[in-house]
Amino acid sequence: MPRRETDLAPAHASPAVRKDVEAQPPIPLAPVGPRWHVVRMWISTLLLNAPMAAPTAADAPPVAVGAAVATAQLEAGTSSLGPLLVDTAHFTPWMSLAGGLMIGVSSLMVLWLFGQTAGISGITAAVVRGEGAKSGGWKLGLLVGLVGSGAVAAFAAPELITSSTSSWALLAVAGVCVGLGTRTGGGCTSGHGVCGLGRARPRSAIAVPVFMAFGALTVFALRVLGGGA
Amino acid sequence: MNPLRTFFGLFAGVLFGAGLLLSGMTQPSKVAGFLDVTGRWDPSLAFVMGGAVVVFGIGAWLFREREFAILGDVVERAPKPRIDARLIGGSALFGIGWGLSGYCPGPAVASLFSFDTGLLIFLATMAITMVAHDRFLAWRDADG
Repeated sequence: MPRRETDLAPAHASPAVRKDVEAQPPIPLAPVGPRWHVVRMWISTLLLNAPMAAPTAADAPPVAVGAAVATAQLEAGTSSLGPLLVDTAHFTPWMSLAGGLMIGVSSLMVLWLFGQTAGISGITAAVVRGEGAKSGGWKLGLLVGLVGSGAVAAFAAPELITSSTSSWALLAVAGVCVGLGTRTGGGCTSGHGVCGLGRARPRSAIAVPVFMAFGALTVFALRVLGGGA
Repeated sequence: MNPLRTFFGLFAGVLFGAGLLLSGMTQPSKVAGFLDVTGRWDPSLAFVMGGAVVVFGIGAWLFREREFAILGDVVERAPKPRIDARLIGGSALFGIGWGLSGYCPGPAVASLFSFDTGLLIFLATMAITMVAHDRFLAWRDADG
């Protein structure tokens, strides 16, 4: 009798496996007419940062909080306190490098043309204070260009702009932190991170590790406590 | 307003925005992935900053002896390297806000036309806080 059961087991298992394979949807055929969705798909897979990772257990909302979550994630291998676990599914080195080069050229334009090492936080603050039209209006122009490029993307390639998963209350607090922090600290990721580091300024060499460390601590705390970005 | 200067500013802004969009900075989950060093770490944003710093660094080095910029402005000199509580506390506070939301000022402004409610809340509180801070400093300096 036990022999028979082991004989039956593979025969029982194999149809289930085949059923799984058959359950996959067939590859859809492109409809006749303008194939914008094909162009969009092509752009997002070849050029842009389309998410390619399937959701995993770690993406599910945590049921426990605090140390229990941290321990569970360490045991599941989705968290590590030792070697870095590189997220290869979301890693986009070439697109990010290309974007970085463009940001560098733009910051350089501001230095070469207007003689300023200005970050976005300083420019935004100046425009919101109503001083955007000063010194020929380049700050206002820059901010309009920044918003405009995002507006084009919001319609042409909306997958490039995603929403934060944090709650509105957290985002309101975050806005206060970023607004006050960049003004008292004298810069943000562009002012300190690009211009300051690029000119080897000591203040930026302090500021960048500080905001990166506090950013990392905050993300860690959110992941462990739940409600993360 | 000077049309030429506004146009150059606009061009720089479009280039900056395109760079942010292409690099993935306008996706808060990607920013969180970069900051999540103990989780599944996405190193992409190190390439953004690395690329930008190298380009800007070389260009700024070539420009180091210039007194006047191309359009005639005086080139801004480096401020005194003052490492104080304002610098460290401000940067720490900015880091906390960055981690909470996944937004720093550039990508947040560039994302305006997504009209995402959470983003608009972030932008509103950021802008109000910036103006409040600057007005407070101006008031304090005018008083004392």
